[in-house]
Amino acid sequence: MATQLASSVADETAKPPRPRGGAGPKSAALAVLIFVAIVTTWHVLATSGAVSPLLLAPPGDVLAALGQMIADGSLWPHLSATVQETLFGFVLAVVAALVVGSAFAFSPIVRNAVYPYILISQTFPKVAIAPLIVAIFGYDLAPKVVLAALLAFFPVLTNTIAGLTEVSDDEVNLFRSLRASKWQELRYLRIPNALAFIFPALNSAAVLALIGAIVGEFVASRTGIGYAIQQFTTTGEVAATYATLIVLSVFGLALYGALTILERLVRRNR
Amino acid sequence: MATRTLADGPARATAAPSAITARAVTKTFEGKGKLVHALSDVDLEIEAGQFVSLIGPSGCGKSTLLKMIAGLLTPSTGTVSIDGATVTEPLPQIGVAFQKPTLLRWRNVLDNICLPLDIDGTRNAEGEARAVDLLGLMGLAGFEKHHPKELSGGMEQRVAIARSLITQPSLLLMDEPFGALDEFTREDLNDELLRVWQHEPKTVVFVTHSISEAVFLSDRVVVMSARPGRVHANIPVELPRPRERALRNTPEFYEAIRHVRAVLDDARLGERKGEH
Ligand SMILES: Nc1ncnc2c1ncn2[C@@H]1O[C@H](COP(=O)(O)OP(=O)(O)OP(=O)(O)O)[C@@H](O)[C@H]1O
Ligand SMILES: [Mg+2]
Repeated sequence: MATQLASSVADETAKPPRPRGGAGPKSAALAVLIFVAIVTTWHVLATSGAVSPLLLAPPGDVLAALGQMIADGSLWPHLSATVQETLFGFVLAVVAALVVGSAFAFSPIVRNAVYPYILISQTFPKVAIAPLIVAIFGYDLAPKVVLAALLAFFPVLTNTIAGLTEVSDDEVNLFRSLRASKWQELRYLRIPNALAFIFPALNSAAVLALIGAIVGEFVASRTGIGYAIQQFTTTGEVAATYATLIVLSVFGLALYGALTILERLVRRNR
Repeated sequence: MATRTLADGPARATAAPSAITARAVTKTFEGKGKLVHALSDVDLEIEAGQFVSLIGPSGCGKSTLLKMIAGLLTPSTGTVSIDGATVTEPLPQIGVAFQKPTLLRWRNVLDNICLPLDIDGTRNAEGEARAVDLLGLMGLAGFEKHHPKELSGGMEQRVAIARSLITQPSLLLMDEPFGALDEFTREDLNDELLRVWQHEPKTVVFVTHSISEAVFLSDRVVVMSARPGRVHANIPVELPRPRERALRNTPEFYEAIRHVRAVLDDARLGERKGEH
């Protein structure tokens, strides 16, 4: 059943609650306070000798390293490689999952037959086959895109199936009583219903695609953020390692922001 | 008032009201290896243009019967026919207000009311104006842009009723449409519903748990008994029409209520006796 397939039940309420009204300024102040606390603790740990400088660089050094990377342009090839791998993988996964998911949703026979395999591939730790994928697809863009897509595919697939099939009997009866065609039921009921399931899955898929790309770069690569992290770590450039991690985190946030905007646009028009 | 515009506007040339016949209808549900006999041997005759209420204990099969008239369920045995033709699928002239409001949560109130028009492909400015009028009639003027999650249960029900009326159906099937409302709002909406019914002749089958509501609205009250559900009694309501608020304070009204209550009580007692 689709119910079992759904990895996350989606609803408008599924998002973290956003503070409103009077809580806003207080929350903002608290957020700044937390930030200051983290940076201060970090600074103290790194400079007091409590943590070895081989493991942790002070925030100032990290910021300098980041500025340096941006200024001399050494960051861009790495960033652009990782962004490409992630986005290609993500788009590939989403398109494939929407197509396959719709096919499954409308054919219970196929769905029931394929379900055990979906379950197996869902529980299987896909990063374990990263070396194999590199062996098959070589050292460039392809294996990272494949890994990114493989990781991002399943949450979108399961939520597409769930969103298209999990409509109540009452809703179906309403559409039957209005003599709606199958196409109209799809357009006015199932697709809008599915959007509420698919968007949260897109957020997880984006993160998973990024993980896939980085793992691919760890296994074998000449560029990319994952490659850079590995290089900096082995050569003991601690500050540069942390700077790269910050870049990664900003990219992740940017993805999340882009999806939020996309969601708003789509929901307005459904 | 919006109410007036709607009731005084030109009546659309709609299909003539439909007559309904149920003959020896039974319905058995199969659930988890257990059989549920929801209806047993129901015979019912509803003349075109009549307002008929179904009343009876919870679980006696009122919603089931209504869904069969709507063409959403098929009888296990027996037939339901509308204007002489056996019902096999929902007919175009029906409007249904389900027991649960079933609004689409991504559509605002106006778009929910206009859903039947979207599906018919007949949505236009006139239809939307009618939706706004109906919303006013339901006491929800100004709520067009609200989404279902911003409404109370009773408000959602009223939007669902407006939706069931938007196509001006000649056969209206309503399942406890005012169940979630307070007594006074319910009475207001009863008045409005009668006004619509008088203005646009239609057959109405109305499920309710409120005896006074059934009496006030109906030409006939059908009392059902439970397990398995069957028609226990047909009680004609001889109160004059048009019925106005003042009717609710008359001895005739109270007398009719008392009578229906006695019959309903009898239906319940019969059921309990049957279990021993
Ligand atoms: N889809 C179904 N599957 C199995 N049993 C059902 C189904 N629908 C209804 N029933 C059973 O049929 C019986 C009649 O249900 P129905 O909903 O028609 O009652 P009702 O008279 O409308 O009750 P209420 O006044 O509480 O709304 C109940 O015992 C119910 O459990
Ligand atoms: Mg019911």
